[in-house]
This record gives sequence, C-alpha cells and structure tokens, in this order.
Amino acid sequence: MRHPLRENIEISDASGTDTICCRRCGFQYCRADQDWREFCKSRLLPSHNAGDLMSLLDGQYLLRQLYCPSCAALVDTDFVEKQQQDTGGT
Amino acid sequence: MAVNPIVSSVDPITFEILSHRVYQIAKEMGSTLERVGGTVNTTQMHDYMASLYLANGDVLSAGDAMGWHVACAGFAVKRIIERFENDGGINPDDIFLLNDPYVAAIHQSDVYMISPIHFNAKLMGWSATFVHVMDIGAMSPGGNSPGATEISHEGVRIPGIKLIERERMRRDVFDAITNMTRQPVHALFEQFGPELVTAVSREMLNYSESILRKRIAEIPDGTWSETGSIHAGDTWNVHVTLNKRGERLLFDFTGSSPQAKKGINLPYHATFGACYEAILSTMAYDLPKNHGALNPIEVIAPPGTVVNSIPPAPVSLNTTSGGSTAKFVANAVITQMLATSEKWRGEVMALNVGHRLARHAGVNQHGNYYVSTLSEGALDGTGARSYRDGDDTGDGLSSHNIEWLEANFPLLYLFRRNIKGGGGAGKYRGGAGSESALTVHDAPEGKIKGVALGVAGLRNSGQGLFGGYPGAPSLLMLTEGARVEETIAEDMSPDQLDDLGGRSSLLPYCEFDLGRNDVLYMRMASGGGYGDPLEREPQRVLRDVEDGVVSRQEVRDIYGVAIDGDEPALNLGATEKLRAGLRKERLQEKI
Repeated sequence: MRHPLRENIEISDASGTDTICCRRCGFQYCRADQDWREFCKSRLLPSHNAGDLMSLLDGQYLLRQLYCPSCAALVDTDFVEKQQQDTGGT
Repeated sequence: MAVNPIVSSVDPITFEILSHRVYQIAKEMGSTLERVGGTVNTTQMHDYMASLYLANGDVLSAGDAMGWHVACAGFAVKRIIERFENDGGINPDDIFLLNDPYVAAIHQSDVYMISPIHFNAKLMGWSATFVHVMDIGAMSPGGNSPGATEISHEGVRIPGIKLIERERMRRDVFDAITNMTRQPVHALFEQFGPELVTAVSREMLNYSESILRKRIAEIPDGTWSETGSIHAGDTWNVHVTLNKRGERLLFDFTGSSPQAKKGINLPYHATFGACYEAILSTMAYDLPKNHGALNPIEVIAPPGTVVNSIPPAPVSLNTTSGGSTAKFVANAVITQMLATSEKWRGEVMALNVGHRLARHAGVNQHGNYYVSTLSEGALDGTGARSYRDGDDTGDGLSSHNIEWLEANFPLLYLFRRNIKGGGGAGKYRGGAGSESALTVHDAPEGKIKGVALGVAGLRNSGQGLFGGYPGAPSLLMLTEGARVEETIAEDMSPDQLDDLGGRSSLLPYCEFDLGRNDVLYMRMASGGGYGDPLEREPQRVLRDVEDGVVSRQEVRDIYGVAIDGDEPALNLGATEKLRAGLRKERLQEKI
C-alpha cells in the first residue's frame, strides 16, 4: 500500500515495513517514523539564487534545498535565517 | 460528537429550495451593501461581509463573505445577546453597532452592524454586516496606526450600542440597510412558516457538519506544524500545530510570540476566524458556509500572545500582519495534511502571506478632505497548485479601478503591470504578482499623507510548496525627488524607475508624505511555485518568456531550459543536457 506525503515523496509498505520513498526513483529515505529531511542531500545557497528579486533577502536568509540523494529530485525549498546557520542552529 | 442524520425532518426538495433561498438572501445582502457603499473598500475591494445567524448567534449562512469575518460577526451577535437580552432589550427594528476588537471585531476600523430578525414578535435570527470604514478617530488617517503602542491610540471602541431603537429609528438614513436585511427573511417566514424555516436552518448546519466530519475522517491521522514570521521592526512568530484525530481538527498556537506593543496583535476570535476561513476555503468550499463547518474545529491560542492578545495591546495593523500570518499558517498545515490524502492532494496550493497596501489622505483636486485606500494588495500573484500555475494577479479581494481613482484623488499612476521574475519557480509556476508606481497630481496642497501597511514576513511572503521556489516578497518603496514631471514634459513614459533617479527608501509600517516628483512604488507578492522546476514542461517555460514573466537567466539557471535567439525558440536537445548537468550539480554539493 502507498500513500503520498508530498509531491515527490510517499509512504510505501512494499518492503514489509512502512518506508518513506522517492516517488520518482523508489529510493528509500528512512522508516516512516523517522524524519525524512535528515536523509536528504541538502544545499544552502544565497537568496538571489531564487531569482534577482530575492536579492533583498541576501545577507539575512539563505535558500535551503533538499534533494533525493539518488535521482536529485527537488523535494523542499525554503529560506532559513543566515544567522542561525552561521551559529550552527537549525 | 454524533451528528444528526442529514435532512432528518425535512423532505430533500424543500431542504434544497429553502437552503438555497437562505444563501441567496445572504448573497443579496452583500450585493446591496456593495451598491450602497460609500468607500472604495466596499464598492471596489469587496472588503465587507453580510451573513445570517440563528437566534443564538450560530452562523446560518455566510453568502459570499470572508470566513474570517463571518466567524467574528458570530461572536459579535453572541456578545450583543449577552449584553442586551436582559438590559435594554432586543426588539424588532433595533440595529446594534459593535467594533471593539476585545469583544468581537478584528480591529476598530471593521464595524459590525447587527440586527435581530423577528417574526410574529419572536426572535428568529440575526443579520450582520461588516465594512471597513475609512476613519475611526485613530492617530493615523485610515485607522491603521503604525505609531500606536496601545489600543487607546487606535480610535473609538464600541463594545455594542443600540444605534437604532424601535421607537427612535432614523428611517431616512437606515432604510437601505433594514430593507436589504430583514424584508426577504420576513417573506420567507410568511411563505413557508417559521417552523419549517427553523427546521431547514437546523438541517443546513447538520448537512455541512456531517459532510465535513466525514471528509476529515477519511484523511490519515497526523500532526503538522508551521511557523510564519511578522517583520515589523522586530520579528514575531506565529506558530501552529495541527492535530488531526478522527473527525476533529485541533489548531494549537502554543509557541507563538508574546503580544507586541505594535498593532500587529490578533484577539482570540480573529485567530479562530482565520482557522475557520482556512477550513472553508480548502475542505468546505462547496458546502453551505455555516456554523456546522465550524463545529469540528478547536483552536488553542495562549493568552498574552500575538494570536490572543489582551488589552491594552494595540491591534489596528493586524489584518495585514498577525491576521495574514495566522491565515497563512492555518492554511499551510491544512495543505500539509491534505497532501497525505490521495483523494485530496490535488486540492493543495502554495500559499501567500505578503499582503500590503497603503492608505492615503489629504485635500483632493475638488478641494475636499478625504481618506482612502490604495488596494494594490488585491493584485498579489497566487500560489501554484498541484496541477496548474498560479494566477498572475488575484487575491481574495478586488483592486480599485485606476481611472476612477485618478478622477477622485490627486494621484497619477505611472504604471501598473505584472512583475518579471517574481513568480516562484516550480513544476508549476507561482503567479507573477504586480507592481505599480504613482505620484501626486493636481494636489492643492502639493502633497498628500500616506500610511504604509503590511510586512507579514519577507521569508515566507509567497511560499513555495514541495520543492517549489518562493515568490518575490511584497514591498513598498518611496522615491523622493525623481524626474517625473521632467520625463512627462519630454513626452517620455516614466515607466522605468531606474531612469527616474531620486532617493529611494523602503517603507515599513509608517506614515509618509508623497509630494511632487515623489514616487510611491508598490510591489505585490508573487506566488510560490509547486514542485521541482526541472520537471516543468519546456513549452510552458517558453510561453513564460514570451509573456515576459520570467527572465532568460531564470530560464537557464533554475528551469534548465535552453531557449535560443531574440525570437525565443526552444532547444530541446540542449535542454536535456542542461537539466542533466543541474541534477549532477545538486548531488555534487557537500551536505
């Protein structure tokens, strides 16, 4: 049985236990009770990488993206405070 | 909670006829209000509400009104009942007025007019309307006061007064209101009898509640959370956790910031109304809008926070700050919840929280003092959905007509257009949003006063969804000493700000002066994208280029699409290579 979590991620019990998987390539991120974000490939980029009009946020926020480690599907994009990243916060 | 079976005591045909008739009455109330309105907020922005309530104040029918105000007006009706039932009485033809945010309203500018509906001398229900009035005696013209630190600075507070008493009615002034609200309901009672109308009213609530509970129950149980930020000098957070268990939804705002000494705060009923509106617009948009859709939800908001402020915390700026953010986070957690349901995931869309606008006041070209609104905020780009792009301009409200505005106020628009490069990238692109610029023109005093409103979070102004990029945030900017008149005198169009020179500064919540050769630039938030931009059909990207809403750089670096030549043409072979390269780059970066 499968049910979606978001656009490119789903929960599947194909392997016998509920597992969070990539909907594009089937990569298994983790068990359903774990945080799939911790198993993604991630990048922190300057805010203007989201477009020139985002340069307003440069210096204050970073663009964080999470990808499937296998097929590089983009699963999450968000702004995070630069200061938190600089001081090791989450 | 057990819900009565649908339409248990009324035959289905009678139920359909009467329930739609009640809805039509509420809808006509709104139309009439719009036609007799005297401000741009009512006549052009649709910033009003007209609804019917049961005798106990529960929502009976919301017409086409905003759910936020529908819920708050329900609180207002209940407060009027408590206050007047045994002291002053509630009589046929009474009309009550209420605008106290710590009783039921959202901020003082939102004035509720509430009238009981009697039939054969028995109280059968209530009609309630709200409009945003243009002045309420606050520090700043227009009622939204950036300098207020407590509610006493924000204008008159009326916790409920009997404006029209049965024997002292000013019919010449108020006939329009009384005719629009009560007479159609009287006709309904006369034609069908109060017993049947009451039974149908009860069934309407049961109908909405039972279907909504069934829908909620079909979704997997879970917990979802979201935080939105309000940037207004300092930063305040609105945090919500949605707990879904069985057929109940609990919105818990624990973890939100303490209330502010700035008018961004929401009273509890406004936070509750934000959650109600989120439900109405996502899971119940096709159901009769009434109290039944409100019963499955519970809202916890700790007192003393920005989502349940206590006096004397000011509130006048809250619709564009705390309110926008509470609605945003409430919708965001519902979106996350719906995405886990195969049946509902198609309904989700990226959200927008960047609502901004400005009031303007002064002496107009006809020699009259005025206060009015620049309702550009209605021109936000909406977020993308799971199956299509967002709308390039479109919001819950409407914007004013430029020709009408220039004919009535001493202002001249330099341009109003869609933004290039604003919409969040994604498999489906966020709406482009809009940008406008205007200056004073033919102003007897050479300048007017402005009040800039709304800074509900640069970070999540137009949030992307499931990999989609965020949309560009909204902003207001004042450029002083620009070459506007000189450019026009040269028969040139002053439509490029960079060419006009002058000194520019961003406007937070503040008052400002707009004089000759000053330019007010208003950029409205663009919508967030949905999904991975590398999955967007190249043909759609080409159309975006042709429409002038994405830049060539975005096309190459974010969408990975190769478009050649001055006459844009797709190069699919190069696109494939470009996208493969971008995917490789994603995985090569260090974690």
